[in-house]
Amino acid sequence: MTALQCTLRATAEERPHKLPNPSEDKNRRGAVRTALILAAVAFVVYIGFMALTLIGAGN
Amino acid sequence: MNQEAILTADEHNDHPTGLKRWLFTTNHKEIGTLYLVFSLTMFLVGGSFAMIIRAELFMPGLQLVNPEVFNQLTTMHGLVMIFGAVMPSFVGLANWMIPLMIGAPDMALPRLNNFSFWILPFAFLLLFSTAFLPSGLPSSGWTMYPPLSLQNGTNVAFAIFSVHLMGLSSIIGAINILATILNMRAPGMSLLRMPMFVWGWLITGFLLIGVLPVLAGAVTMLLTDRFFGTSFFSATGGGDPVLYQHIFWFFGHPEVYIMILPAFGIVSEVVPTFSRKPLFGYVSMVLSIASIGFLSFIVWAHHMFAVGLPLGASLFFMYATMVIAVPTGIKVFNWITTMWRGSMTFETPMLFALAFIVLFTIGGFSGLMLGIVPADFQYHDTYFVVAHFHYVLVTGSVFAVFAGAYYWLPKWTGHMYNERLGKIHFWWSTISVNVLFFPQHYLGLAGMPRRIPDYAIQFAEFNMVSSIGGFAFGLAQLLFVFIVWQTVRGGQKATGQVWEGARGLEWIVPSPAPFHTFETPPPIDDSVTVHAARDS
Repeated sequence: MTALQCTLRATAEERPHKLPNPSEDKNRRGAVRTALILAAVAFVVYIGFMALTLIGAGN
Repeated sequence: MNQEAILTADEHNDHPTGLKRWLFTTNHKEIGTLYLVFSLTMFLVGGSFAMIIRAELFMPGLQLVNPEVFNQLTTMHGLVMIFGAVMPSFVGLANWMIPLMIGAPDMALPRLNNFSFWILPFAFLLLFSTAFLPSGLPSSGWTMYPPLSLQNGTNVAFAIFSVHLMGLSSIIGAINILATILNMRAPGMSLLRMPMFVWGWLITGFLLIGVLPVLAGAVTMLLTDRFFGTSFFSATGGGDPVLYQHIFWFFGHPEVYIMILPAFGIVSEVVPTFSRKPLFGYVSMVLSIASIGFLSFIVWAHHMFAVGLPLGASLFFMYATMVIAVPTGIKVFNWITTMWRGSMTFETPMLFALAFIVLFTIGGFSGLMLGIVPADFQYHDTYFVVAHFHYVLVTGSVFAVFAGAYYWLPKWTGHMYNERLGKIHFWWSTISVNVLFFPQHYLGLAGMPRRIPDYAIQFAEFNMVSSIGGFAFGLAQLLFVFIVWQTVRGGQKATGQVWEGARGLEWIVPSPAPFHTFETPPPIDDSVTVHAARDS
């Protein structure tokens, strides 16, 4: 059972008591890495656009 | 505490019920349901604003509301429908269907999924709470253009924070959907084997992450202009209001595609099912969606030809806008070709998908007219624009959501909806929506400006017809609520397959879909889901 499947079973009786190590779960690791990269892109766009406007507006 | 006590105290062993079940759920199906219920509620709230607007415009003169309240209603109608109804409805459909379609056990980040939903109700509570401020609800339009928005009272701060929260929710949702599609597909589900709805969302997710932070940046600068003495967009301090328009529409135009690409995906699922044929030109459909996504980033200034752009810029944005017709035309061609010589039947989802193809195309054509610079100088800020974007967003996005809702409702509830009532809902909606919006083209061509509570007597007849259509369309949606309620409560049992011609992983699980699905990845072979192979 993967770490993700354990998370999904957070409300189920059959949830195993010992979680597998998430670092051993390839899908989970990949998903977290993708999410972090995308969040970083969103943050850079947010700051970048404001910085460009700041320069453009001469403030 | 001994080991046994620790295990007993583990709250995760409980089955939460009642409110807790919905507050703390990490299950994609339950979160999908939350999104869909929320969006339907907001659809009715935003629709009730529209009913008051149409009642006021039923005849010339001021009848029901004063001009300030009218402006508040148009602003709130736009914000609620875009951020509260249409966008969450597609996120709800994505939550329910994407894991089922790609053979994943759930979304990649289930707790984040819960968080992204529960931000939304608070964002809208914050927005609605401005009704109790002395300055009242925001009234500068959903675009919040300065300098008008800078002249509002403290409600601007509430509206801006609310937009930040809505944007945050959408960005988190998009990250989760992208992480799911890119990492959670069952072995064998390659990108070019994915259903078109998933493809639509893959591109939409990138659009959301690319443009929502831009909106957040624009409204942050608006906030500092209003409350902290900066002059980004204030001409009195050396700023430029047109700069806001550029930044806003850099977000705003891709936003239109954010609300239509998942709709394309739904129609691409429904049409092959009820034509009993594979989707024609799967790869060209994928490339069209990707092209539309790319082009959406380079056409923003067609919303602002009237500000006086340099000729070169006007020409660039005009031609870039025209180019979008090519991939869109490919999609319409492929849907028609999919139906060509198919064994078509006309159940409610198919009817809504067909209406989408015809009516969205009308919205597309009026968009082309607006994209022509000299013509736009005539049409700009008239009811022609209102007619255009309502054909795109109501008979486009909303009709596609109806098609998807009827298509997947048996999978969600385990019951078939009442087909006769569904068809009544379709015909009632389709006739009334055209009575509502088609005359608005003529109003615009005759010169009636948008966002006004009163108008010259020459516009009276078309406005009356439009309002009658509006009331009828609003009433039809109450029938939809009844149909959904009736289907959830009971009815004829649905099979797992539901529709004879349906293909895809979501149809191999029973109806209603069990709480946990695909804990073991399903085998992917051409018979289940491969659109590309079906083409050949």
